[in-house]
Amino acid sequence: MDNLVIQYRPRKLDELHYHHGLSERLKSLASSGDFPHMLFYGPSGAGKKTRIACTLRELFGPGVEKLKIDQRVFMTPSRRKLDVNVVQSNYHIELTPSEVGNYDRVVIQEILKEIAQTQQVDISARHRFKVVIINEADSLTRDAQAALRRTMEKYTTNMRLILCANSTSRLIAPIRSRCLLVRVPAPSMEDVVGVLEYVAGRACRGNSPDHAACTVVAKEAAGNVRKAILALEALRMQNPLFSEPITVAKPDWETYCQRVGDMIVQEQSPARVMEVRAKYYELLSHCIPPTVIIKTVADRVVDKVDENLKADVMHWAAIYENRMRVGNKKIFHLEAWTVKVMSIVKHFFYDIDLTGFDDYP
Amino acid sequence: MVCDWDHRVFCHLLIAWAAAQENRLWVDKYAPETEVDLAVHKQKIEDVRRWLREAFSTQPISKYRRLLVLTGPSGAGKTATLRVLSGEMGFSVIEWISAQQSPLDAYGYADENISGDDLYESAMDKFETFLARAGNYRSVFNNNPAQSSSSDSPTQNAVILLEDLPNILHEGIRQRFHSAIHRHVQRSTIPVIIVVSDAGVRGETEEVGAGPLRWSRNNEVSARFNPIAVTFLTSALKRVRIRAGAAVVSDSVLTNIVESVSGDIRAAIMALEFTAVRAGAAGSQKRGRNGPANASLESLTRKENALVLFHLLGKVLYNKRKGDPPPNHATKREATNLRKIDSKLKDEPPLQAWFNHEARATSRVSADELYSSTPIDASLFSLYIHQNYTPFCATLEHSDALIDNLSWVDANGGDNWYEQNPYAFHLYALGTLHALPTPVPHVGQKFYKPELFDVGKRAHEASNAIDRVRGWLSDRSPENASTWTRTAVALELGVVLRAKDMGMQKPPHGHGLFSEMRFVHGAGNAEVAGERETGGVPVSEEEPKRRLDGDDAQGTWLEDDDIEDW
Amino acid sequence: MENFFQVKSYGKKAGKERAEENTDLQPWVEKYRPKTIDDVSAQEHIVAVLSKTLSSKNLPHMLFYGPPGTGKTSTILALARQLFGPDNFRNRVLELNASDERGISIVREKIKNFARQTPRAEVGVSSDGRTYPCPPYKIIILDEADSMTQDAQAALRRIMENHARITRFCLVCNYVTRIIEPLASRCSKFRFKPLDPAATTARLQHIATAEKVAAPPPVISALISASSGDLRRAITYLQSIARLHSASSTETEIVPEDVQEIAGVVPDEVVKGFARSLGVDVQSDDEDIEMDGDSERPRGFDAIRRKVRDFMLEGFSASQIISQLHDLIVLHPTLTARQKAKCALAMAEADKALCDGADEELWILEVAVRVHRAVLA
Repeated sequence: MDNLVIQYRPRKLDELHYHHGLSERLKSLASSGDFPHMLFYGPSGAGKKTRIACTLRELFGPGVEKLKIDQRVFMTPSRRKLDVNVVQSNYHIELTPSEVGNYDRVVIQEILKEIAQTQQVDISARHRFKVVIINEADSLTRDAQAALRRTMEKYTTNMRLILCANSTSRLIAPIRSRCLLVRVPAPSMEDVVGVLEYVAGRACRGNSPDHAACTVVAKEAAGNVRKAILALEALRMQNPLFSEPITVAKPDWETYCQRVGDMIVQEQSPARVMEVRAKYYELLSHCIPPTVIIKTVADRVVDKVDENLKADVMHWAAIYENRMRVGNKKIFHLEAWTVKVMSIVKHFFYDIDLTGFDDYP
Repeated sequence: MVCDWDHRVFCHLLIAWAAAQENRLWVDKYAPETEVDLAVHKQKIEDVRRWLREAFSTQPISKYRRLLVLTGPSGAGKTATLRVLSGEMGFSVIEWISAQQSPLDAYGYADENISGDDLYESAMDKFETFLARAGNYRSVFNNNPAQSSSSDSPTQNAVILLEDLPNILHEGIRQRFHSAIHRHVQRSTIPVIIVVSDAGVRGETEEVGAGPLRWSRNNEVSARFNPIAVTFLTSALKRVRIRAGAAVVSDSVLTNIVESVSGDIRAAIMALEFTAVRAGAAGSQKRGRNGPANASLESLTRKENALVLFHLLGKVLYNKRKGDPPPNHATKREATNLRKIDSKLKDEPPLQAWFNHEARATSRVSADELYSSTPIDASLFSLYIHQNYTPFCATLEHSDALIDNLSWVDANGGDNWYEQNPYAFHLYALGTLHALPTPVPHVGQKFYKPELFDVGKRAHEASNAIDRVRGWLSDRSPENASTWTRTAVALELGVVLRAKDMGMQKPPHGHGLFSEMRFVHGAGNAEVAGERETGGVPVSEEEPKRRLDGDDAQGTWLEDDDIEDW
Repeated sequence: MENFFQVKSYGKKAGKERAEENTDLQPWVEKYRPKTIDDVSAQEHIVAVLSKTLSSKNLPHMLFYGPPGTGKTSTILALARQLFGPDNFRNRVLELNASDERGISIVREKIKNFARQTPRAEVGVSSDGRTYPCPPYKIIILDEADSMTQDAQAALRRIMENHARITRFCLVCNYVTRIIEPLASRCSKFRFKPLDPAATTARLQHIATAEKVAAPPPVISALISASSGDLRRAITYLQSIARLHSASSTETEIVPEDVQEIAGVVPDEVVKGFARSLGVDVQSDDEDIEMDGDSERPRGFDAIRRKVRDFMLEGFSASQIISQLHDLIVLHPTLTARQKAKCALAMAEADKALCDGADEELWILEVAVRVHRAVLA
């Protein structure tokens, strides 16, 4: 009875809980016989993958649900071995090339070539093409995107691509224009509550949480269904009767980041910089992405500081986050932002008439 | 033809041997013969001796004494210890010397179209044969004349010494190597001793030696040798000086040598020999001229050594500028010296009025000089600055300017070697100097080694833990594998994993590496890397220095591989 | 099985026949490529020059440049087809169009080999019953030539000189400045101007009629604005829309919003609502509808932050939002030049940051705040 996220996931387009218009379109597209390359995009936890899985089922029938995991080994030009896990059925294959970092191009090229050159073996298959799902397409390197673009032109007969991304900004224009774009917005609060009530009704027969409890959980999840269901699951384990008060467990890192934000607001000194650095190291060593760190801490700081400082705090967060992407040593940029914020806050208190506030570059 | 060849080889060996007797390096000539001569810590010797005694004993414990790994920086006396004990305890050492075979291999194959793999394969074949033979017919090897007196007894003990490991970077080779060792340990009663030298600060150790050398099932014991302490090193050098009759080398030169080699006795003896030869050649002249000897010493013993690094960091972080008052404890002469140096420094041209806040006195530190004398690259340099800058900043604004510069330089220049900013080092150095106050107040600052490497290592472990959790999930349903990306697991799954820990279903062990964080107030846990009072003469403290060395070793390794990932 | 052998629509005869069997599956961009240079939309000047070369049988090396989707590739393909006819097209024309297929080694091998071959004389009536001039040279088309490396371009220069007698080159690129000077100076340059809406409309309408897609004028103009003058993109969008609508079970009309959804464009009303919440004075097309009921003046930073967060939840792409906001502000009737400049600066920085892969939410917020300040100042 574990993992509600998977267990009560809708399997068919008809079973989806929200975005019914979108489901309708996907359904007709899948039945038309003329299936284009597609790009699903939207915030995480909005249900992109669920929709992709449902569309596949619509395309090929229940056979796509027979999944197996395959470990593939690839050789980089420098003869380094890459192990990549691929999930596949007879009709599709799914990969996350960004997991191998800069070598994603190798994986893309090899797998796509292989798929494109093999015919569908299953004669009873409804379509002669296989579908390749590429997760996290927006974190592909430029090289890999260029390779992808070429294969999209070259092998359209035996293969269709479904890309899954958080945003289209990082995809090169030729890929965007070759795909049918499908935007999957985050569900509304009511939608999330609906999903939670459905899942809870199935999973915790007898004492399922009431509407109010679901609403509390949904509010905390901010449009991320996966997060909401996880929170529900954690809640069920800690508070099986869903008795008041409902407290939604937050991941440790989130609370931790908020405390770091508090530290910055409380004291501004070189010594405090050292303390905050230790916290950042702790977060980084727990595999929390630096962008997530800076955003979460900044959110907290912004909540705590004076209205006049908020824009500046976020301005520097944007600047240093950008540098972080370009640079190598994430801690430099996290810390530079921290020191900058500290100095802004400090000046605001000691030196209210600090001029030149508005005309940063 | 064959005869001819044999003859040639024989002649060659004969000549080489004769020459060697006459002209051996001091390192070999004055190699320690008894425990007293060994500069290694007594405890360490005792550890190894006890292990050997147990291995040769008939007690059941000997079963667990089949494989000993000696690690440590080069010149820490690992092999020497073994040789001395071999004499003392009367066992013979069967040595695998790949170096003797490889020249032939190289001549035979190198220019042919045989790939590197084949070459290694053949070396590997030889190694396997060697091990098998050494295990079974040890008497064949027991023909070392030096040992002949003791080898008469039929109960002669022996160990197999592996110093020149085959190249085990290659996965296949490594597996064969491991299984060969494993087989041997299973079958034979002859213990195997593996000696692995760490490299210097750059430290490929993890990759070359210890990393791939992790055994899980074998009953392996490992002993780590530390760099030789100053006192031991000095007395050992003095002994060599007496034995070699090299009285020309003064005590102060000796001290210099000891300081510059950071615990590497081999390098120390080499340096001693070199200095003695030079001093002997210039014997008629005045003795004890340290100047030139020092200069050459530095080039001779140049390891990427911690002291140089300290000196460099001190220079940058104490930010001395023209006209700074001399330190309180400075002697009069030093003070005049400083003034003399200052008078040679040109003043910077004046800045526009609106830019006046950026005006600084001329620095006594030249970035070019720093750059040419530095043992580390720009990236590591920036990490050291980052780790240590805060106590040197008087105000938050200094910190701001400094860290902003680090951030800016880091963000300008790519990951690949051809995109790298060739001026990164200068930019780091100059930007840091510009940002720091002048003079920097002395408040007992200490130097720390960068924590980032440790963080990188922990992040790596956490990322492995994430993969384990993902594996665990997808064992339950393959669907999980696609739903749970690494980021999703790291950011979202923690809540449920923790709850599960309390309940009945146990998720894989170790998910806490990424899912659990307890907030405690307080600063970091950086180790003190060493300390000194002024920016002047470096204080040589053995312990901290060693630590620095060791940690750098893993650090640089990590940097190449992991840091860029996050 | 026949799908397996499907090739590009032009060129191979066998392929062409098969392609016609399933024209439904064929991209309309290929299907409606101009067959002759006279069909090329809105590049009258170039067409006039090139038609002369048709009769003179001589052709210089050519360099076509201009924004994407203005007909550069179509023009050279049509010209080549008119010169050689379907039979000889294949052995006389080499088209290389992939960015990653043109390292120096490709230039050396593939191009050189092709350039070296002496064309066979081919005269007489072609299989489709028409006569083609079939001049005694071959054409090598290098699409996206501006993405070739400098080395490869330099190597190309030599090949151009050595084989000029029997080979003509046509370089096609977006940015003429990225072609090395020695190469550019050997070519006659043709600048393709951006298509005017009238020409694009005509072409789109032609295709819509041919494909029996009901595309009322607002849809066409939505297509044009969503594709910013790129005819290829416009046609691709049109095909996607037609596909969605022909597939859908319920009969609905195509509306401009559909176009925007397909193209990943943020609906106008959403952008206007966003601008309004930043303090930009925007008239809504439809006065009654207020986005999210957020009609009052902004209430400072937190309101903007909330707005941006909603935006992210909607899944819109940051670069798209910023570029649309840019259009709105730059063309705004009442903002001063100084205000517009400040906004544009912020957006330029954001665009650079997004290209570097920076976080979208942070940068939309940054732009929003700075626009807000600029407008209120």
